[in-house]
Amino acid sequence: MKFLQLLKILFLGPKVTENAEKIKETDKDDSFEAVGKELKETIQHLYGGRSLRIRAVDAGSTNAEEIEFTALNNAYYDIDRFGLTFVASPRHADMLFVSGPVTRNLEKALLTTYEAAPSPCIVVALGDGAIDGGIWKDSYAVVGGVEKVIPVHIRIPGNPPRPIEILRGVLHALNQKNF
Amino acid sequence: MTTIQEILKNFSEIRDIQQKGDTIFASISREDLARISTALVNEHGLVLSLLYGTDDRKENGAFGVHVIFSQDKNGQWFKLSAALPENDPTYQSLTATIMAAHWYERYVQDMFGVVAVGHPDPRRLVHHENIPLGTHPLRKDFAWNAKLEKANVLYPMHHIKGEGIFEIPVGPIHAGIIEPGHFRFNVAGERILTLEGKLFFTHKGVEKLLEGKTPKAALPFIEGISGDMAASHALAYVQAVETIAACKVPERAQMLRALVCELERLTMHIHDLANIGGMGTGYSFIAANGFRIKERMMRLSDVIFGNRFWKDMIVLGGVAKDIDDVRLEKILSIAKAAHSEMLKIVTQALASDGFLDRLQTTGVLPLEVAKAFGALGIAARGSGLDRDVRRDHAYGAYQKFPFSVVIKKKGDVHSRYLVRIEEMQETINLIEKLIGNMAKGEISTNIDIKDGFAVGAVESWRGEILLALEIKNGAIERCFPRDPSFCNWALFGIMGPGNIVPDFPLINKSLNLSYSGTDL
Repeated sequence: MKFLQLLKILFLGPKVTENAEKIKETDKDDSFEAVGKELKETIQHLYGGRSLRIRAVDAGSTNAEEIEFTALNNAYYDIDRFGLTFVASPRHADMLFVSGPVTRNLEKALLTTYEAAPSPCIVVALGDGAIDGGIWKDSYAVVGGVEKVIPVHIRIPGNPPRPIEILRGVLHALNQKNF
Repeated sequence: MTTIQEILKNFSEIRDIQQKGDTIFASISREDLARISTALVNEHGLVLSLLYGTDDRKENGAFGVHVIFSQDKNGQWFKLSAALPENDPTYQSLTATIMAAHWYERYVQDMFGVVAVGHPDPRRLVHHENIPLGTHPLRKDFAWNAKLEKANVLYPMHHIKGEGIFEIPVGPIHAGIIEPGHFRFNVAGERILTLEGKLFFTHKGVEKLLEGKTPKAALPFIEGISGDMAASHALAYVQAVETIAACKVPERAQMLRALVCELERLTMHIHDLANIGGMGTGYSFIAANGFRIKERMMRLSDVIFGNRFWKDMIVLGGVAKDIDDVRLEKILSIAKAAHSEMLKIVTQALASDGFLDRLQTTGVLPLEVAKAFGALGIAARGSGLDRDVRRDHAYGAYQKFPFSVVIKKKGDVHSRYLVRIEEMQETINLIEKLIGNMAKGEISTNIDIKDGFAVGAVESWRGEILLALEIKNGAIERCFPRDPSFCNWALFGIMGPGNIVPDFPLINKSLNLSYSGTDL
């Protein structure tokens, strides 16, 4: 009985992965779907049909950025279908998502993570803190923006940036291809 | 129930007793601080809720150590202060008799160079290897933007030696998308023998940055303490400023504030139920559906406030913007739908034997330990400790709208899961009452910043936020915003051992503590 219930919810439950029309209604900006499709093509072109692997590194954020990274995996956004995947180790990563002003206590960990990632590794500084230290800039406990520790290729501002802003930022940067 | 004033009559050592609202202030000599505090806790049932330091060398040539006790039954706070001479900043440690003081005293030692003599574990806490010895950032002669030298000071951790004992280091960069922290497991086989955390990786110097700021300019820093608790931290802070200024916030603003905090609670309880159930046990059905429902709550916040984290609403003197009736109705219908759908999902989860097997008897926190360590929030209520600031020190709209505090007694992950499920129901009831009885009128009032001291206490979804605030010459002299996570982290040392290593992520998710909020 319970098993039947489970099947019912699984197959007949609400489907919420949104289509382009619905996104246009709820989002004022370009549709997430369109950005995702374009991103998918770009990734396929750049990586020969493989996907782009991302490793998230918290270098001192307020944890809001991490919540948005997690949100990218939920049914509304489901970035896997565009060829983007979060991975567990920097050794598998093509791209680092770095959030937060780099604190003194995390400087070494960030550098080690970057060194562990295979080259070339695209580094994305996500959020105002990661770009230049944000409101925490110049504090005794903060080193500063991510670029003070490792090279940064993409900057996505926001406090924190919304999921669609993250995706658009990645797409924009990949299209410039100057890594 | 005896009031604090009556209790204090038993102690001739306590001097200069004053009262302001629900807070009683007094001072004591540093020699008596530990002994009298112990008597207050053990014999008179007060709870040690906060211990923090101040640098008052300019005023009286001394450092201050302040202990704030809570008298839950009467809704009173009691601040006991001791002065330590500049040339010998030491006092007798409280930790030997009051376990709840252990991290606070190490924290004060790092930040002020004030030594708790006889502390059983006097290692550094906040400062990692890279911080030079003798760095005490909260001393007034330490510049907020000081450039520290590189250093390599030892940060020793506990080890167990013996045949077949292994040590597993984890973090600070984890496999999942979570905040940075380092954990050391000493294990025999899969069984955890000891578990110790090394935190403060995201220490950004919040307290130092707050110093000298005007109360208004400080608000973005307060909202940035922990991204998922922006509304609750902001509320604790503005309440402290308003208490000092004797500012009366309009009723509508108070109700809207409570509404925002309850919406934050609902969002994060849905998140935790999904995260524990889905990511913690591998029952991905729960996570997939739970995160979908949570996304709707975040989108609701975006539509109403223009951000996805219930931020930028609570400001000094009231709230930043009004919510009209149409939007209030929309909030109610979305919140109710999210709740009822989440209930269906967790009912499904709780019907699974495999799921219950992972949750039950895992990560047990006994009541005695919860009390001794000063556990807060869900960790406390899941272990039968009946505490909730919204009831015990009722503030704002909660004075008018009572609710039941959910208590479970077994102290395992399952109990904490059930606490969240039932608290969701209480939250929905509160949201319904607040929206149904929403007062008309102003949403903010002018506030004249005054000098003085006050505490701000708020029950966030994680637990009690207690903020000690002193304003001087219109600017912040000292502000210690204590996140509930600060008190709960040490519980892992008790909850972990005896379980197997793969259960730790589940236990960790069952508390869902903030690293950023602890590290400040």
